[in-house]
Formats: sequence, structure tokens, C-alpha cells
Amino acid sequence: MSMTVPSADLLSNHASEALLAVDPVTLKVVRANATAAGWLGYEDGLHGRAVTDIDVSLAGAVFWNEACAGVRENLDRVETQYRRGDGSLVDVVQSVFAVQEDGSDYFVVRASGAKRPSLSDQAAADYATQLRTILEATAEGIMVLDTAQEVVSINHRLAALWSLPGEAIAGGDSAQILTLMGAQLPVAADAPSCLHALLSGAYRQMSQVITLRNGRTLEKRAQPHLVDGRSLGTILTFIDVTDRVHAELSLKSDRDYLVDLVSRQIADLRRARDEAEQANLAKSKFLATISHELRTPMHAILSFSGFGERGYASSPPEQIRRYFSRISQAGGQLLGLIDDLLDLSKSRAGRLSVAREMQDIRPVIDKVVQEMSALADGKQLGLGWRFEHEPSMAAIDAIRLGQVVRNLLSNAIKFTPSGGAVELRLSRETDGAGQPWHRLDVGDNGSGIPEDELELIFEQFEQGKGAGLVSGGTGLGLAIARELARAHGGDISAANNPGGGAIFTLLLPAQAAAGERPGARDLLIRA
Amino acid sequence: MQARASIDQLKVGVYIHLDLGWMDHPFGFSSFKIKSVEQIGTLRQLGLTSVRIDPDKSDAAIDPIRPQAPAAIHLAATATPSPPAHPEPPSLSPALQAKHERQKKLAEKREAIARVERRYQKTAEGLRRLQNSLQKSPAQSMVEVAALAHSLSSDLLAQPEIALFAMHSQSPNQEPHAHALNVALLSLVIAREMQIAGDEGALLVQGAFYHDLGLREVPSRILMKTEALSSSERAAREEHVESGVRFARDLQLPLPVIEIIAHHHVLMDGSGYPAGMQPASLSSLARIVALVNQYDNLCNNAILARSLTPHEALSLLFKQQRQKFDEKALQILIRCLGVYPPGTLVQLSNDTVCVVSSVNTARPLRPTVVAYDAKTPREAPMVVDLLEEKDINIRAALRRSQVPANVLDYLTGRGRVTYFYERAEA
Repeated sequence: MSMTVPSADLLSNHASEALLAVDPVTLKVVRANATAAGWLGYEDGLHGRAVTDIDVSLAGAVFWNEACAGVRENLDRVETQYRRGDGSLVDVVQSVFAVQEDGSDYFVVRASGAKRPSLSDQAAADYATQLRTILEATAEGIMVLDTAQEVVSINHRLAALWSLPGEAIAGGDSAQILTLMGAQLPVAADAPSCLHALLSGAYRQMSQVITLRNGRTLEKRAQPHLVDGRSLGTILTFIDVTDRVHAELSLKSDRDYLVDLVSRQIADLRRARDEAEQANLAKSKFLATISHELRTPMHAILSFSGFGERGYASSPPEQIRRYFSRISQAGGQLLGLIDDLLDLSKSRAGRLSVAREMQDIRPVIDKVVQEMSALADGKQLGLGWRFEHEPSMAAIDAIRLGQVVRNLLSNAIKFTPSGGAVELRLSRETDGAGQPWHRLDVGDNGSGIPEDELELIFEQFEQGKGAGLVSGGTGLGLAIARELARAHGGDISAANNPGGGAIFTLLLPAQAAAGERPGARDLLIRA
Repeated sequence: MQARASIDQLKVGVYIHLDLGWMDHPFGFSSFKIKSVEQIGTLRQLGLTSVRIDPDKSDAAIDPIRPQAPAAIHLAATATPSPPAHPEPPSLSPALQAKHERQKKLAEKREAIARVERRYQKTAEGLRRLQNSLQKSPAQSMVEVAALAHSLSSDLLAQPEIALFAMHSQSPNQEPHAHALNVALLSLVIAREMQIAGDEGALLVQGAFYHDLGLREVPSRILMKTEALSSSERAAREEHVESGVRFARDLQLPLPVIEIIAHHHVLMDGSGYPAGMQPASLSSLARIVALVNQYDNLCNNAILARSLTPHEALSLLFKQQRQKFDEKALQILIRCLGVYPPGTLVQLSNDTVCVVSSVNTARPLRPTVVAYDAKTPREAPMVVDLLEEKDINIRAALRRSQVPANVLDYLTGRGRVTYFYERAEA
């Protein structure tokens, strides 16, 4: 049994590469395998076609030229370009072998379209991968734009900073990336506006701060992408400065708070200093006035006693008696002043104590009125005293209350001209909180008190301008009276009577328990 | 996979790696496939008893001995990288000597390049000054330009043999006079082959110097624009031809020069501008300038990323733009520059990355190249003459962007390519 042997063509027609045989003299293809014919696709076949019609590269033209001139060399895997039947160009790797068969020279061409990655491609690919990993390892978000302002490349950090989804990095096109970034801007922008926002403003060494909707604050830098002095586009870098900005803001607010605190404390200190200075001033004034007031009766005592001492033998008894009278008067004045001072200093020191007992205040007032009636008569003043018929009970220190009433009444008498009238009226009232009060109004028909002195007269040593005409008091009386009234849980105030003259009003809490100070000091009601 | 084999095991077809310095053996490359028994003999003469083999790249199979043995022990027994270890057998000397020769030639070539570069700089600087002063004192400058054109032309055309040098300039700020000088020089080289002589040559050079003068009238934002131009911008740019002609007329330049300026964008298939010119009526000078202008613009584009290598530019002109230019001028340009002009980066069929250092004009596919080898110092690199290494050929020309930066630095400089010439030793 004989085996049939197929033709050589059967094998070559199934080769994966295109195989051509070229006649070196004519440079025409003399045989081609089916792969070549199919791949290159010339309708009228490859046979008889010039190889330079197929291999159209410059190097190919030179090679075949030389072959024609007699050069017989091989080519090992050269990259070139073939033109196919339809006119299109295709990249090819070809090897050419100069061979002989039966005394004839041929060139066998073996070509395929597959391109082996060249060493430099591989090295370049490795290098690119290296660069890529460096790009991904940096802490900055990096975006590369080309000269047409299309996004060429972004790293993952940028995508993270701008909250871009993963797909955007992988396959995202420039417009899509810019649109996604634009959505993060404080004022949502479309892709062109976002691009404009990114490229405007800062350049080179200057940086710009952008706050995104995802809460991050980024510091952006833009630099031209220069290669060999030519611009290939722009490189934008972004650093996350959110923490830094927050820290700065927090520092600033702390600082502001501290500044505020310090300035308030300074203001407080100033105020305290001013008050201390004023108090000091007041104290000095007080001391100056006291020494003057003390000295005046003292002088009188000394001078009259001096007169008496020198002239007791020679002066008539009436004169001597007058000297003693004046000494006695001055002494009383001095004692009164010392008492007042003591009271005042006690009240200032918070040690003015009143021994309060629940009692009817009418007799106390009545007693003072009787005392003062002689004085009033002496000035031909009418002295009226109106009171209620039921007991007016209050927790009072009788002696001290008497002192207060005495002071008010003596003032009223003092400042009412002859022929006038002084009236006391006792009544009861209830304040807004339902507290009952006893109200004693002492009115005169003197000249009244100037409006701006209504409070001033209660200051120690102040007698008001009007009082200057009718002096004789220490100026402490009203101050002490007020302190005493306050110690009883009440107060004294002054007002002008519409009908002329002044009214001093004493308010005392009615029926408050002994020892208790109703806290209604600030609820005084004026008529 | 790496393994070692003893010398006795080696056969033709085995791919071996010589772990020796390039200057320590006579072979073109340190890694190659053994193609003859003589080569095995040479290996023996080098004193090697075993070598590293690469079975994947080998055609013939052998059983490797001592697979992946710790190299330390073995290296002591074989030849070490330091040259004075053993005396060279006499039969090796010619091969090694040839290597020395090639390296010496490269060194000389580098000196020559430095020389030529100095002369280039002088001429370029002179041209730059003249072009700048053309506005201020046109009459005076014009005379000096004519004189420069004359001296350049007469010198180059008079040389019996010239060597053409392609240089990479370091400084980027040399346009537009660099372009003008490139065009002038390459036009002269073509003119030389076309037997153009004397005064005509001077006119050609002047035309080359002045051809883009009209670009001064075009707003720089159009000139510098990296994106595509709108039709009105394109029209504005094309006007530089007219304004150049007007300027030339004002200067009363000779008619052939004005013609060059007017026609340097006219293409042989009628697709250039200004439209309506009859290509057949173009002067040969204008045709030369048109071609060379296009070539230099392809190689030295305003946008560096768009610049083509000289090889790519020539390939493009040949493949797709043949019909736009004068065929003879194109042929001569290719012949003079070479298919792989000096400075072209190439990859050989054994994957080595090289730069073309000088062209064998008779065999443009087999130039002399400088190979990148990390182990060989840049000052004394591997120089391979492809005429001698018949088994190795250029597989492809490379773009600069395809080559890693360190390789690029080793092999060549950066920046634009400029041309100049020197009288060649016969």
C-alpha cells in the first residue's frame, strides 16, 4: 500500500505567516502562499506584482534596490509597512532570506502582522509603570491636562479628594471627569466652567484654596507642563488642607475669644480702679469736711471758755451765763456731729444695728412732733399731723425711728419760711407684689428742691444749693436717715410738691416679722 | 532560563552570553548566536572553558551542565572582565584591533562634530544678528546677507567631498534663523548633486535665508498655536508668502530669490499655496527649497512632541508625499541623508538599541551605530559596523519617546537637529 504525499503547497498554504518568493532581477513576486494572498487581498493575485508595490517603506525600497544590484543578504525581523489590495497600509514584521534553488536566486519573504513588543517598548512600559506607581503613591491629587485642555491623566488621590467614583478613573473621559468635579464646586459648574475655574487664578508658585461640597478644603497649584522648553499642557496638584484650615479657624476663634476676654477684664479693672479712685477722693473729701465740721464747734467751745476764764471776775454774770450757753450749744453740736459720724461709719461698715420690735409707730412719731412743736412755734409755722385711727404696726427700733422722723421734721421746719406750714401724714399702701407699707409724708411749703438734687441731698455732707442759705446742719442727717430707713427694710425719698415745697417720704414695711428684712427695697413706690 | 555549557558542548545555533567587556573579545556583540565553528574556536582562544547559554534563543539543543550553579565559584575559573588577565592570542588581534579602530574613529568623529558645531554656531549667530537688523537697517543687512550666502555656497559647493553632520542642539531658543540655516544647508547639499554651481548657489542660499521672513507679520498667537488653526487663522498664516514677497521687492532682491519666497509652499500636485500655480513652471531652486522646508518642518516642529525623527520624516515624504515634491530632489535628499540619517535611534534585530553614528552611503541600510550597553562606559561605547555584522540588521527606527530617558542620554542629546558640513578626508 503506497502513501499519498500531498504537495508542498498544501503545507505552505496553512502557514500562519504570509510567504512570498521574489525574483531578485525583476523584483516581482513569483509565488505566494494562500495566507499571503488572503491577507494582502489583491484581486488579481500577487503573482507578477512588483514587491515594491507591496513593501512601501523607504528602507524596503532601498533594500530591494540593492538586491536588484546584486546584494544577497538576509533581513531578520524588520518592521515595515505593506500596502494591501484595498490601498490600506498595515504594519508588518518581515524576514527575508536569500536562497538558491536549482541554480536560481530567490528571495523568500516571510511576513506577519503581529508586532512583538520591542525591548524599548518593554522598557518604556516598565518605566511608565514605575512612574505610575510613584504617581499613585504621592499624597497630592494630580491632574494632567494637555494643550487642548483635555484631561490626560488623574491619580487615585485626586479622585478621592474630589469624591469621584471609581469608574471615572478607569474609563472616564475628560468631559465626564470635569463634570463630576464641577458638581463638587461650591457653585455647581458644568465641565467647561469647572475647567475655567481650575485654570484661572493661580499659576506657578501661587496657590489657590477651594472648598468643595464634600467638606474638603483643597490647596490648588497649577503649573505649565514643560518638556524641553515647550508646553505640553498644564499640571494641577491638589493638597488636602481641611485639617489645617480647621486648625487655623479654631486658633483664630480662640484668639478672638482671648482678646475679648482680656479686653473685658481690662475694662472691669479700669472701672474698679476708677471707682477706687473716686472712693478715695470721696474719703479725702469726707475727712476734709469732717475735720472742718469738728473744728468749728470746738473753736466756739475753746473761745468762749477762754473768755469765761479770763473775764469771770470782771464780766457781768449775764455775760458769763451767755458764754456757758454758747459752750453748751457748741458742745451739743459737737456731740451731735460725733454721733452722726459714728452712726454713719457704723452703717458704712455694715454694723449699724437696729433693734426692731413690733410696735405701733404712731406714738413714736407723735412724741417727735411734740418735741418739735416748740421749734415750729418759734418760726410761726403751722405743724399738722394726720394719722390713722387704727394701730400702725411695724417692726421698728423706736429710738432710731424717732431719729429719722426728727431729722425729716427739723429739715422741713428749717427750710420753710416763717408763716408757712409743715405737715406730716401717715398712710398705708400696698405695692405691686402685695406687700403692705407704712407711708409717712413730711411736706413743707418752702422753696422746694431742684430736680437734679433730689438724690444728691442724701449724699453725705451734701445739703444742696438751696440749703446753703439756711445752714446749720451737718449735711449728714439725710444720709443717716436713709441708712436707718434702709436698715428697717424701708427707704426715704424726696419729691417736690406740685403745690410748692418739698415732700420727704418715709416708707416702712408693715407687719414684717421681727429681725426680718423684707427684700422689697427696690419696690418703693413714689407718689 | 539561564544555564551554562562547556566549550566542548557548543554547537552552531547556540545562543551565548559572554560575560566579558566589549573590548575583551573580538565579536560585535557580547550576546549572539554562534554561526560558525570558527567562532567556537575563537571562544577557545579567549581561554573560556564554559559559557552562559540561553536555550530559549538557541536553534540547537544541548544539555546544559551545572544548571544555575552559584556563579561565584565558576567565574573564578573562567575569564574575568579585567583585560590584562591573559595575553591575547595573535589571531584575535585583528578583530580586537578593528574594534579599537572603530572606537578611535568614533572619538575622532566626536571631535569633528565639536569642530563643526563651533563653525555652525558662528554662522548661525551671524545669521541671527543679520535677520534682526533687517528691520532697522535693511540696505546694510541685505548686503551682508548676500555676502554670507555667497561665502557659504562657494565653500560647500567647491569641496570635493563633504561629510554632512547632524547635530542635536542643546538650547531651544534658536528659531527662526536655525530653520533658515538648515534649509539653506540642505538645499546646498542637494544643489551640489544637481551640479548647480556658483552664483546660482548663492541665490539659492539667499532664498533659503529669506523664505519665511513674512512670518514676522503673522501674529505670534497663531504661530505658537498648538491646536488646529481655524480657516481664517490658516489664511493669515498663508499670507506670509505674500508679505515675504513684498518685503523682498522693497529690498530689491534678485528675481530668483523672490521666486523662491513666492513658491516655497507650492506643491507639485497643485495642493499647495498660493493656489493656481503651474508646478511645471517652478524653478528648480524653488522646488529644492520647498522640499527641504517641508523636511525641516517635519523634523523640527514648533511642538516638540510632534517632531519626527529624520528617518520618519524621510519615510513620510517618501511614502505619502512623493507626488508633492520634485522626485529627483527627494531622491537626492534621501541619498545624502541616508535612510537612517546620523542621529536616528534604531533597534537592531538582536534587540539592542543604538544610535546611527555615520552612514555608509553605498549601503545606507548598514550604517555604523553606537550601541547602548549599561555595562560599557559612554566615553568608550560599543561601536558596531553593520557592514561587518552581516547577521544583524536594523529592525526598526525608534521615536525618542519610545526610548527610556537614561538610554536617550547615553546615546544622544536632546533638542532640535541642525545640520552642518565639513570637508571630508578622501
